[in-house]
Amino acid sequence: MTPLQALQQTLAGEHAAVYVYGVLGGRLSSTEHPELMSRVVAAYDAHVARRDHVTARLEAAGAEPVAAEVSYELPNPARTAAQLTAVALLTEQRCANVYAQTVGSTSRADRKWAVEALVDTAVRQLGLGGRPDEFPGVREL
Amino acid sequence: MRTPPRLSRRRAVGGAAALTALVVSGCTQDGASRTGSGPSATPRSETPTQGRVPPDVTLAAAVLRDEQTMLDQVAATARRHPGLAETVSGARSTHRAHVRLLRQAVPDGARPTPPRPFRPGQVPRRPGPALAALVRAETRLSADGQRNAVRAESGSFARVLASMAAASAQQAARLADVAADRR
Repeated sequence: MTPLQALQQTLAGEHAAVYVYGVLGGRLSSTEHPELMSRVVAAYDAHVARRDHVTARLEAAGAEPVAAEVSYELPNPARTAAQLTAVALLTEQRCANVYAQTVGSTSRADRKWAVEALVDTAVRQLGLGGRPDEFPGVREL
Repeated sequence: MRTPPRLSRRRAVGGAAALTALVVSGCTQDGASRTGSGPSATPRSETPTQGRVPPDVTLAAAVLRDEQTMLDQVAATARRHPGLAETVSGARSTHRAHVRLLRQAVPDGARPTPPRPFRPGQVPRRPGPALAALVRAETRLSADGQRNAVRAESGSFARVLASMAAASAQQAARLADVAADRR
């Protein structure tokens, strides 16, 4: 995978994450689940910032940033707090896989950015019911 | 959202073998090299390094030493404070897995002198400070790992180093949570 392809894949992942967290935020009650709501808002902000960063990197490189899909299929009905939390966790796990791939396919500033994103998303998973992993983002190990 | 493929044992073994081959040969894979200039960087050709220890082997040996030191500290903490053994069991299995993988990747001749093992006497007398010392060590190991991932020549090796750094960050966060709950 070329560095540009990796960044495009990362951007596609960020589009999906922003969409998913937007849906989760709309379905959560901040009075019933204030802690989960604050985690969802923080994650949404983080992925919006990453989406904008990668978009800018691609544009600076003369590439056409991949566009977001109209909608994304959620892995469960996403109605109860447990279901919403599971969706958020799965989103972070998938982002971790993408960031790790980007680490391996880029260099210097782009790799540093991807490393930091991987570390952040790995820690974020713990607040969403995830368990520590021996090799976050690297499924084959 | 697409469903990720299931992991098979064959793939897991293949992943470790691929890492070993990459680090030992000092090759670059996946179109990434430390000397690239950004997203449009041209992939470096896969040329085995001859006549010198490849930089990634030296790096892997240093990371192996640091992971072994971390593992020794975790084990010594569990020995000195049996009440923390369960708390630190996740960190223990994580660093054991890291050490196992790196041992496969680093040839015997390139291995550094093993670190002096942590002894129970080096662990703080009270469990709280002992836990805090582990959090500091995991945080430091994660920061070092992130820097090493950026330095690595091989993209595949960088990916594994970044993952290990993320694992240490997870352990630091979890142990910090436990420490906060004990206060």
